[in-house]
Amino acid sequence: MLAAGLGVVFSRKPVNSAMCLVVAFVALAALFITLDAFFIGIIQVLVYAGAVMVLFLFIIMLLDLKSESTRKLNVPACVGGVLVVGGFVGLLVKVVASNPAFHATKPALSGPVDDVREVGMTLFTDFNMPFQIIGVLLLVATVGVVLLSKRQLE
Amino acid sequence: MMSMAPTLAHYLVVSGLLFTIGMAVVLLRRNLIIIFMGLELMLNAANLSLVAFSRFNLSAAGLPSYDAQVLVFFIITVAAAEVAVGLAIIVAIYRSLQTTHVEDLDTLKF
Repeated sequence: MLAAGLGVVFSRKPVNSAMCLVVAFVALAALFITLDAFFIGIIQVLVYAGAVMVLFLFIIMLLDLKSESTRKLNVPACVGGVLVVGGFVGLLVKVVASNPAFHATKPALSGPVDDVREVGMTLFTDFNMPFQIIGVLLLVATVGVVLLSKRQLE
Repeated sequence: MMSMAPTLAHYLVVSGLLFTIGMAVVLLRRNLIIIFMGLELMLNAANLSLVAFSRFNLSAAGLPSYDAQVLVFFIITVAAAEVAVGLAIIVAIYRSLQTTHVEDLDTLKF
C-alpha cells in the first residue's frame, strides 16, 4: 500500500498516479478488514476504489492531461516539502515510541462481529442528527456540482 | 519481531506514513488533480488510525467501539462530496484557463 502511495508521488503521468491510488485504496480496505471493520472495508472499496476513482479517471480523460515531464523541478519547493515531510515523520516516530499504550496487541473480541448492525444502530440512534445533516450536505454538493458544470448561467 | 501480532503502534505508523505520502504529494506535485489525490490519501490515513483505535479500544461488551467507525463513515461521505465539488471546480478552471497546473494560476499574485 505504501509502495502504491509512493507511486502516486513519483509517476509522471496522471493516469499512472490514479492507478497507483486505486491499488493503495484496495490495500487500505484489506487493512480495514484485518481490523474487523468489514463494513468500512466494503464501503472503502465501493466509494473510493469505485466512485471516486472513476470520477478522477473521467476528469483526467476529459481534460486530456499530458505528463509533467517537460516541467523542471522547483528546487526550493522540493527542499521545503522534503523538510516538512521529514519533520513530520520524525515527530510521528517520537510520539509513537513514547507511550507504552501504543504497544498493546489486539485485544480478543467477546464474540463474532456483527458490525453492519452495530454501525447502523449507532448511526441511527446516537448520530441521527449528524446523519441527516450529511444528507443535506450531499444534496447541496450535488446541486452545486451541477451548477458549476453548467456552461453559462442564464 | 516479524512474527509478532500487529500492535496499535504498527497501524499508527502505517497511517502516519500514508498521511506523509499524501502531504508529499500535495507539496511536491504541481498538477491540481494529483494534489487532489494527495488530499484523498491524507483523509484515508485519518480513517485508518480511527479504525485502528476503534479495534484496540474495546467497549464494555467486548466489541470494537463503533463511534469511531461511524465517524469514518461520515468522513468517507464528506470526502466523496468534496471530490465531486473539487473536480467540478477544476473542470471550470480548465475551461477558462486551459491549464490545471498550479504555477499557471497566478492571477491573484501580488
